[in-house]
This record gives sequence, structure tokens and C-alpha cells, in this order.
Amino acid sequence: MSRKLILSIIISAFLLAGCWDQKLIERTGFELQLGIESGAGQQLLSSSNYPAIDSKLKNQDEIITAEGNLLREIRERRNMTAAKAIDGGKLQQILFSAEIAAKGILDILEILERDPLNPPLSHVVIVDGSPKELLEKAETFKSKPRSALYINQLLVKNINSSYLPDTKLYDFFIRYYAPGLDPITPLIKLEANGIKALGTALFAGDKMVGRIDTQQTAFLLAMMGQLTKAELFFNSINQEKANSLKKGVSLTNIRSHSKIRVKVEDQRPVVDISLVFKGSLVEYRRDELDHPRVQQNIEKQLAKELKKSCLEIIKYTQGIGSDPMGIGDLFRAKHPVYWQSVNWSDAYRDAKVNLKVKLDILQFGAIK
Amino acid sequence: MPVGAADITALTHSITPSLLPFIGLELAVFVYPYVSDKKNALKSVVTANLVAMTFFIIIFLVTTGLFGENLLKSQIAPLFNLSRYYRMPFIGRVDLFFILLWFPLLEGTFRAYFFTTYNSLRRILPFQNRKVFFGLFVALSILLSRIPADLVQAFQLAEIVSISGISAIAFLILCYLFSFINKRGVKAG
Repeated sequence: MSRKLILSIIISAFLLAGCWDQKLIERTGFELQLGIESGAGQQLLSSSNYPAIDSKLKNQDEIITAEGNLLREIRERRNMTAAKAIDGGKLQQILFSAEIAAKGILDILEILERDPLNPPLSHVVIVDGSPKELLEKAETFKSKPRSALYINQLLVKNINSSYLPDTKLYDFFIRYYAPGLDPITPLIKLEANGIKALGTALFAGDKMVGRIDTQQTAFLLAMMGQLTKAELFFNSINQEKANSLKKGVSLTNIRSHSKIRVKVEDQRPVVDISLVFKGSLVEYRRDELDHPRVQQNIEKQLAKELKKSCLEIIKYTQGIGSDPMGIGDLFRAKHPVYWQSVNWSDAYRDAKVNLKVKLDILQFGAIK
Repeated sequence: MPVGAADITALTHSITPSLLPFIGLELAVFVYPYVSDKKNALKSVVTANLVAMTFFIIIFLVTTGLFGENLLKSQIAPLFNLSRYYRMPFIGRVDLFFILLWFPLLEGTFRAYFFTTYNSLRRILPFQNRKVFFGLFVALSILLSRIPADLVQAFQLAEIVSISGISAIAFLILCYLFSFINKRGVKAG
């Protein structure tokens, strides 16, 4: 019996091993970052980065660039100079230049969706500038980790602080294909000593049409119901001391709850947004903050500031024709007849938005 | 959204592809002669199909909710993509684990078809030595499995198998309907 069992295990090891299509790790270069921008002659310029394990230098990444009309074609061209066979199965970030994003990126992303070997969990990021330059320069930052790790840590940290939206490849596709909902992606920029999170790139369809900064990103995420533990700053509140360099107030651990209701009035879309922020005051000045009257006054002032900032964002997104909050999606679900009767991109620009903002400061720190 | 926005004509188009996941029902006919508890056979078949249907409904709701109808209809394997889209700490690619778990399930399906085919052939063909016949059958199955050389051919073969499965179910339904006309061999009550 045991002989038969051993024999069957040995035979099945050969039969079930699946030695077809094997990939040897030591001969494979796992692409971690992919930069895409416009090249010469209306072609795509792609830069990819993978750890050069057998390099003469330690902790070295190899950056290979190539031009072509298709990403697959570019990959094959890259393979002509790469020491290893490039594999995209561990791709962490796809970096598009803002210039190419303005022309539309869905067609470029198509291969990443069609070929299941590509991970849909890669971050889609827009670079204000050249992704090639950013990847090359990131390799030279001595005090920073390897490029892929550095950008990943930068993105995750800022996503957790609600300064950047969390947009993976599949998020982009889901938002793009949903009628009445537009994608948003993180926006970064190369600086002299590092890479800076700039905020959010706003899309209309697959074209980048605008941008907002990190603080505005937090407000947008709040309206989308995705704000988590943010830190907010307000430049002016009440009567500031004229001779003081320090101005404003800082709130921490901000959480929010949003409710969006939609209705049609006189063939015009009307959106009622109710926003409730809760958080702690972490920096201000000594101003008798233990008194309820003072507390309420600060809450009221900041709620007004929040409302003003949120309305500015809504107005801006309406102006550029980007609907990141999915207001159109709500109209499609709640008012399908109206949705079908209008061109949503025009109706969205004309939509009336009513915003109510409430702020509860739950804690005022350890001093009065 | 809204639910039911597509008209009846569009909804009826989904009937044919929806039949494919229910292939396997015909196996009950082959297994039935060997069932000892025949009184509960129908109940067991219906329960098994209800479990499968519940699973399909859950997958339908989750994939529609996540992908939306436009992205969903462009996908060939939404369940597989669901595993690709799932973010799990410490595990980079959940889809690879999904494929790993898929094999035992696939083996379960394959085994049922394998023994049903073997048993049917044994009854039809005049082989006396069961061990030799089983050996030949295993060898033939392995040889057949080598026919699809790539993914495209594997999909083509899967389509043939699916159509055969539907044809088998259709044949059984026809036989059942024919039994109302021709009463020979039909037990009363």
C-alpha cells in the first residue's frame, strides 16, 4: 500500500508539476514602476524601473526607456537592452505625465486591463513634469529609500492623511466606466531634494482637466465620504493679533460624515450636501478655550471656512466638467427619466448645490 | 441602476450564457441508478442546484456592485477579477491564491465527469478486464488533455464541452417530454 502511495506521489509530481511556461526569478526583472509620457514624433516614451539584483553596485535599480506606439511594443524594445526578461506582474505605480493625461489615458491603460498578468492594484499617479526625469532623479536621493519604495511610502502616508486619493488601476476603471462618475488620481512633482505630493488630478472621462491641492483633496474626500483622520489648517479666524507671525488654527484627527441628496427642480438638478466634521483642536492660541461660548464661536467660524472651501471645490469641478463625487451617478439611480433626458455634462455645470456644514470640536487639548 | 432599466428583449439574451454555469445537472441522470436512497434523490439534486444558484446570486450582486454594469459586461471572468481587485495586507496577489484554490475545485468537477464517462464507456464497450480498460481510459484522458496547446485552444475546447453539456441536458429534457407521448417503460405513479 505504502509503495503504491509513494509511487503515485512521484508520478503525480511529474504530471502535476506544471513545468510549462516556467519563469526563473534570477533571469527575470520585476518591473516596479512604469512612467509614460510623450516621446518624439507622437510616440509614447516609457521608462521602467526594476531592481538590478546582479548589478556590480548594491541596491541598484535599472531604468530602461524606450519609445513606441504600443506598451507591448515598448516592452519588447526594452527587452533588447535589459539584462533580464522584464515582467510586469509586480508593478507598483504607473506614472503618467500631466501633459499626456490631458490627452486621455484609457487607451494606454487598456493593455494593463486586458493582460491578467498585470496587477490591477498598481497606483495610477500623475506627475507634474516628466516621469522619466522623476524616476532617474529618485535614484540619486541618497537619504531616501529605493525609488519604488519611496514613492509607495509617500503615496500611502499621504493617502492615509487624506492628502491624496487612493486610486489603484481598478479604481480608475470602475470610476471611468460608471456613468456620472469621474476618476481622480494622486498628483506628485519632482523637487530638488525629493518628491512632493501636490494633491489630486481631476478627470473628465479619461482626460485630466484640473487639479486641487492637498487640503482641497481632504475636503473633496470629505464630501465623497472618504475622509479619514485628516489634519486641517485654517489661515485666519476671528481677530488675529496683528503683530503675530503665527496665525490661524489647526484641527487634527478629523473625521467626517456626508450625505448627498439629489432632486430635480424646474428641469434643473439640485444637490443637497450635508457635511458633519468631528475632530480635535491641536494648535491655536491661549483664548479661554474652556468657555462654551468661545468654543461655539470657533466651531461656527471654522464651519463657515469649511463651507466656503467646499463650495469653491464644487464650483471648480463644475467649471471643468469633472464629477468626482458621482452626483451624476446619483441622478442616474434616483431620477433615471431626467438622466436620460439631459446631457449630464451640461446639466452638471448648471446644477444648484446647497451645502450645510457642521463642525464639532470634541477636544481642545491639554490647556485652556 | 435603476434596476430593470434594460427591456425584456435584452434580458432574454442573458438566458443562454446563464445556462452554462448549471452544466453538471445531467450527471444526476448517470449517477441515479447507483443511488440507494432514491426517495430523497430529487430533494438532493434540487438542494445542490439551490446552493449553486445562491452562490451565483451572491457573485452577481457583489460583482455588479463593485464593477458597475458597464465595466462588468466587458469582463470575461468577473469572479477571477474580483480576486485580482481584492487588497490583502502582506499578500501582493490574491488572484494567485485564488487560482491555487481553484485547482481542488476543478479536480472535483473533473473527477465526476471522469468516472461518469468511464462508467458509461465500460457499459457500452465489450472490455472484460476492468484494470486494463481503466488504464487505457486514464492514458486516453491524459492524451486528450494535451490537445489544447495554448489558452486560445483551451477556450475553444471549453466551448465545445459547454455546448455538449447543454445538448446533453436538452436531450434529457426531450426524453422526459417524449415519455408523456410514448408510455413504454414508464412506471405508473
